[in-house]
Amino acid sequence: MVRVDILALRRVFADGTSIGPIDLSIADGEFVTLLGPSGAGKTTTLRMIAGFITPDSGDLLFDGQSVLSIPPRERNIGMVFQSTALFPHMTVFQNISFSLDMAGWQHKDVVARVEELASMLRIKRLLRRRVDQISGGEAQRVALARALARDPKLLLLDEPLSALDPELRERLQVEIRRIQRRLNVTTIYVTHSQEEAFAISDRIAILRDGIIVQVGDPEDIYEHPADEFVARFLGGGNVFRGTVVGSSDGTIRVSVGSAVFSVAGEAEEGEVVAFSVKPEDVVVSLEKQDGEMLQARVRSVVPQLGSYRVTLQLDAQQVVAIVRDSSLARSLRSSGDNPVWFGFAPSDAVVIPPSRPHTSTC
Amino acid sequence: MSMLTEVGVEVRRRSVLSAVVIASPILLLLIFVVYPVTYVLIAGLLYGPGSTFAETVLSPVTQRIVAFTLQQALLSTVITVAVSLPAAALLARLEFSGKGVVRAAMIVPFVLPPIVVVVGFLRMFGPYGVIDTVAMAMSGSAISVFDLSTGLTGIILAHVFYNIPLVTLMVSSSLETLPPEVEEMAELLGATTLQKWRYVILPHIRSALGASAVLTFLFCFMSFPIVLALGQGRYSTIEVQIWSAFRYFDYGQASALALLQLGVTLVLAVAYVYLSGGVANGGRSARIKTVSFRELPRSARLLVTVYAILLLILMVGPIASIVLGAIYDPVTREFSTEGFANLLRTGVGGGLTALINSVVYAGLATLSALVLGLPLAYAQLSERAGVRGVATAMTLLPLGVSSITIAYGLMRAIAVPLRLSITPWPLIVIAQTIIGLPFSARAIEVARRNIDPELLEQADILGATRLQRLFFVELPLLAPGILVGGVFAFAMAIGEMSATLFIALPQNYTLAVAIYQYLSVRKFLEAGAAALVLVVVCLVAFLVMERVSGESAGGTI
Ligand SMILES: Nc1ncnc2c1ncn2[C@@H]1O[C@H](COP(=O)(O)OP(=O)(O)OP(=O)(O)O)[C@@H](O)[C@H]1O
Ligand SMILES: [Mg+2]
Repeated sequence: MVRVDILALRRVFADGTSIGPIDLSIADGEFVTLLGPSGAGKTTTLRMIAGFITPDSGDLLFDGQSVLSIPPRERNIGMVFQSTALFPHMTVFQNISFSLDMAGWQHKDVVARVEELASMLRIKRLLRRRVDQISGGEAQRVALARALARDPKLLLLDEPLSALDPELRERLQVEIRRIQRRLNVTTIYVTHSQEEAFAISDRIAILRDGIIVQVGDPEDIYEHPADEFVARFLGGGNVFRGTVVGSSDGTIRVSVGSAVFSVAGEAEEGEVVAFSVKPEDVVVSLEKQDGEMLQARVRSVVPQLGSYRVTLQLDAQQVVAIVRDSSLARSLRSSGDNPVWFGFAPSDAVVIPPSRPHTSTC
Repeated sequence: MSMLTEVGVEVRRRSVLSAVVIASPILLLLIFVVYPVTYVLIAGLLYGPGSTFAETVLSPVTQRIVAFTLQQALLSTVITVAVSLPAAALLARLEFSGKGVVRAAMIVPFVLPPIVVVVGFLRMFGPYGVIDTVAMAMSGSAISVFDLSTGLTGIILAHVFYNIPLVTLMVSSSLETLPPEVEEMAELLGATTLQKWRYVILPHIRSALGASAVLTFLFCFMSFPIVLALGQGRYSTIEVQIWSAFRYFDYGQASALALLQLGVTLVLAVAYVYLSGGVANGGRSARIKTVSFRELPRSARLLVTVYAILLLILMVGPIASIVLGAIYDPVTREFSTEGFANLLRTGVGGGLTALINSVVYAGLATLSALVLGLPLAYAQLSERAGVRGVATAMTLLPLGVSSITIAYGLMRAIAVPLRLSITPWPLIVIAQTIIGLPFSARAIEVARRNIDPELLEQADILGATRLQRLFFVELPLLAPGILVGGVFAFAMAIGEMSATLFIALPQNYTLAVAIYQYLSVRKFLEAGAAALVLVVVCLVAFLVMERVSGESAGGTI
């Protein structure tokens, strides 16, 4: 419905906390998620887009037109907060119809629109209830219906599901995505859960300390984290950081604590580097095998879909590996304090750029 | 088996004891409020002497008085609400330095005796008062040109002064419980500022607004010193008329009017309880949507400034003018220390006797208000709904029955059989106790409710007996609440004029009554100096409350 261009949008709060500059373009009908840890500036960015926070600099374009001077109520945005912010003194129906009433719609049009939204979100039977008589999940559906009533050009969702239990969350994720596709409304979704971001988005923008550190589709970000922070935050792989102690034809040797790993890549001796290894690429065994193997102790063995997630402890570092052989998993579990062996091929390790130092004030 | 019985007897003895302790204040209130008021109503209506109920109700004089009572209360309420709404919005939404001080200072008018406010109003808005002096200088006139302090204007202005803090505080704290997201959502959904107020904010504060308006109406409806002193005999309300009727031994009329008044106040009290039940007390929202003064558009800044200055003149002017009133005589138009000299004079009409009376009566009344307030507060927190209900009703009772009615009841139902008519001072103490009790009980109840129950459980687990727990854990934790309640009760007692004037013989006059007597014989300096003493006492009381309880003093109100 609208193409959104965020151009170097920036806001510095009185206490010096700085959010931005944020640069991000969202195509018409696209579903983009802002993902980042608490305090990264996700809400602030969203509120700048909605118009509740005035940016100090930068610009915000809807279809190429700057909207910074337009008040929130005229931006035609739908928004849903984690704390649904439903009007407590109104019924579900009145909540959904609020924007239509404000715009002076005819009563019969209002009824038709509300019923249409209610059946789309499967809340028809709730319409007469007061908002304190509905559950958390229902409240989020009502909030979504209310946000969609005016046919907004842009939908902003700030952690709408994070107060719900996992099963309900997953159901609503699917539903939000279904409705977004159907209405083809440009959507910006905020979450701090990488799982949710991966499940729902066309593209993900990762925020840290008020700056976008990486933008890409889920596979892209998962396979090629832009830096150490992203790699660690996504939690998809084992991230090691160490000092280069030697290098020879395309392989460097990196010392991490008391262990030394071989990693494919180029770096000067003495340089500090980070690299990641996917759990499925880590080999674990009771006996030493061919290739470079190191000793570690087993911390936990947790069964998961068709495999076992084995966590090893190596000095202060944890290493996660995926094991498919159930008899190996059983022996690992009962290994107690006896060391086991693990290793990975140097070519499976990916050197990642170090991230900018953390600047948060907290 | 025998041990079990012993334990049983012990438990029963204990519960009998606590029942007696809890029942005693309720019993005393029954004896000193319910019985006298009922007696006096019935006796007055049945046996007079004086006019019958029908005569009273049908007389055009009564009808005029009732109409005026309602009219002035309604006007006062409407104006108070209209003036307070912007103040409440600013207090909740505008960031400005000194906000905490302003919020705290709002309690001052509550503890300021009405008769003192009268003195302040005369000096600020009255003939040869501060504003009049400025107006005279500007117009070059040698005589007074400006008087807003007397008649209907004065009465209403003083009532507005009194109730602005009440409405402002109640409404602004209700505004502060509105989550900012709700408001933003309304904006995002296309509501204009006006629509946002109409459909989202007003419904949210409706209960607080209604409750504070009803309370304001109730206070104005029963107001006595302000109407008496500023009305200067030309204006009379039901409350004033009960007093006059009593003085002319027309007990029939006094009782008929008291019955009428009681009917109205009870309805209002019920309305208040109903409305205040709907006030959301979710606590202040984590993030309040505020704006700073600089962010406002220029026109709004101008408006806010003008409003704030006018409000300041209305609220601070009269209080500050009392200082002037103590040293400036508007009759001779000279400065003098005669007022203070009078405070050191003994004998009838002298200030010292009144000062001593004030302190002694208020001290005794405070002590009894605390002794009764403690069990009453506990009874209000009882697990049994019945006990809770009776205790709460009893605590609120003195707020719903006017001071004059209570005094009238005490004078006829208690003074006569106990032969206290010629030494009525114990009745003054009783009346002041009754008037202070709601405040002491409320402060203690709030403090008790704020004690973490886990602390008391800890004391139990650590082996304290009930008495040890009470003395070593509970009372120390309650101490600030008891102090606040005591100070509040003292301020109410020492400033009490209505019942005291009703009961007192000249040798029993307190400062508050003396001020009224001075004013009625135009001894303005004497009145001013006495008022200043009361202002100082009340300011000290306020500071103590502030120190001890910070914001929780507001909760007491
Ligand atoms: N009005 C404000 N004044 C000062 N600092 C603020 C203000 N609003 C937000 N911040 C700061 O800006 C930073 C980003 O806040 P924001 O609410 O955008 O984070 P977030 O990514 O949404 O976090 P969460 O996941 O916890 O919701 C935080 O450090 C916060 O303290
Ligand atoms: Mg947030």
